Amino acid sequence: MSTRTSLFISLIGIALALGAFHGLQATLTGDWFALGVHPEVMELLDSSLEDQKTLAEAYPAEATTYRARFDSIHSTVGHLRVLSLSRTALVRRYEFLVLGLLGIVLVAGTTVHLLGQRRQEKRLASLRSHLAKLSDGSTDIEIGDQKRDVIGRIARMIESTSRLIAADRRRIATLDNLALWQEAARRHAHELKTPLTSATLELRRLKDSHDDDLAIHVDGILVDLDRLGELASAFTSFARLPEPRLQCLDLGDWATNFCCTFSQSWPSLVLSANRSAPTWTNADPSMLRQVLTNLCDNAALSGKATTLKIDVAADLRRGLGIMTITDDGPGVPPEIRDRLFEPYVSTRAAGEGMGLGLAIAKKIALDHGGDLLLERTGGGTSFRLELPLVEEHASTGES
Amino acid sequence: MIGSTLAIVALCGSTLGSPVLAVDGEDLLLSGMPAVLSDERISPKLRSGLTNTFLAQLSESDDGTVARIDLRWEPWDEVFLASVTTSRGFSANVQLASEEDLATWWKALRLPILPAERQVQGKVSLQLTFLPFSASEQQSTRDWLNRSLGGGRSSPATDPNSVGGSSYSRVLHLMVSTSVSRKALVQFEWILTVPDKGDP
Repeated sequence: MSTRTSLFISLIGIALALGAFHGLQATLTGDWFALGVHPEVMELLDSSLEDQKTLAEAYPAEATTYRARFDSIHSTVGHLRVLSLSRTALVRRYEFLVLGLLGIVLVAGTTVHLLGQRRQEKRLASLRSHLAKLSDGSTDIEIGDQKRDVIGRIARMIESTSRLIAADRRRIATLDNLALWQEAARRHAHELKTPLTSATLELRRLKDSHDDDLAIHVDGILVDLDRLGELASAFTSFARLPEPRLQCLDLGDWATNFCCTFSQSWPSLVLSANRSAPTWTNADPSMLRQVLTNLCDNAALSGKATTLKIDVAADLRRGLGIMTITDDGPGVPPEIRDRLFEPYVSTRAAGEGMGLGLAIAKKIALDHGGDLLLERTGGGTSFRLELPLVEEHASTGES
Repeated sequence: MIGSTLAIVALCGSTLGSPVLAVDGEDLLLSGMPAVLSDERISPKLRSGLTNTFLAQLSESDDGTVARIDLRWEPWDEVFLASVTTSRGFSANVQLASEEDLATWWKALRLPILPAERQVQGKVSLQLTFLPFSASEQQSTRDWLNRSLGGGRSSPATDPNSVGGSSYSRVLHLMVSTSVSRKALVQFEWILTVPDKGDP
């Protein structure tokens, strides 16, 4: 309803209310006023006047007293008679006063209502504008309406949706990127494997049929070829990451078991796990293990990390289980932070890793409906693995 | 004022008759007052104990009110107290034992209202206004009401030194004090002929 329509309806309502009040109170007020100058009252007072005169005649010694009473009663009678003669003016004045007060209250109430309505219309217009931006693809929407009413809640929902869309777009972009890389890796592996196999067979035959000096060179070449074969296998592993086989597990328990099971796998690292409350999620335990293994490998290969701590908690508001993996290594160099999760990005020398570990870990997290993010670096490194909570546990926070 | 009890009625040449203007020496006299005291709107008020006032106003007079007649029934002594004052300085105070005496006295009134040498000629309009109570009785009633509404304290309207009372009671006092006012209950009007100076 537009402001003008509301104003028109409000004015009609006010006029009807005042008219009804006028009709009602005009009758009531007159009757109530009449009680004050009721004929019976006047008769009693007149009778009392006569009584005082009679008493004064009967008791002359007290005549002064009776005369004083008489004058007092007579004065009251006079006042009542003056009031009776002014009754119409009094009633009318009272009516105007009350009508005026009622009118003021109604007008003030209507004004407040219309102003509030106007404010609501502006807020709704802002919501519509931001919804239009959302539908056009904007994801940086900040409405800033912090009120706790319905419009405020809708505004916060729009902002939340905008953030979710932005996160999903980033996830889709990453997945698209990784899919391209996986396709490239599959082709590289395919192109490499056939000539590698042939070359390896020919060289082995050559080694068997020639002298020992030549055999040494052949061994060196075979080692390099084996290395190429490993590269092709890594491409294949990256290209053919399986679909997760989900199981319902408590992230905290799983992290504790991982630390116990693999406590000696990285001699330079001390593993530890902390948990606040059960954090139930659907995840593939073996793929989770691959993620943690890749992170532990990176920490150990940095050469300076001595501890790796795993903290598990639940973010009930977002419905996520959060696993924070923190080491005390040298951190991630600034020049690669923006491309950290891309394949073949590595700070290690050639031959010490192909830079696929974090890309694989990221892909695993995304395939689980979550994400792997660099939370903090510099003076240690902290990764955050987010996985969706199991629905019934997300809503209640119970195990 | 629809429904008002304060009906203003103009009577010209009604069955009550009309007063007469006459020259008596140096004065223009108003006499032959009609029997307005028997009017059904006036006669019940005569024994109210309040001061009933009749104001005579002449249209051609710059002075406004040319005569004032106050009537009051004294209930203790059971007499009517009447006083007359005119713009010519004439005044009289009488006691009358009954309504019949009052009517007789009223009819016999001869009121000098203007000097004879005033240049008033032709026809003039005489208005006689009846007020049911006096200004002092009006104020007394206001004070009485304000005391009653203010819980016994005098109102700001009557006591300039009073600083008490809530906003509500002040509004009520203002409403009451401005509502109790003297308004004419009845008004009569006649068109009279001004006699020449030589006429009796």
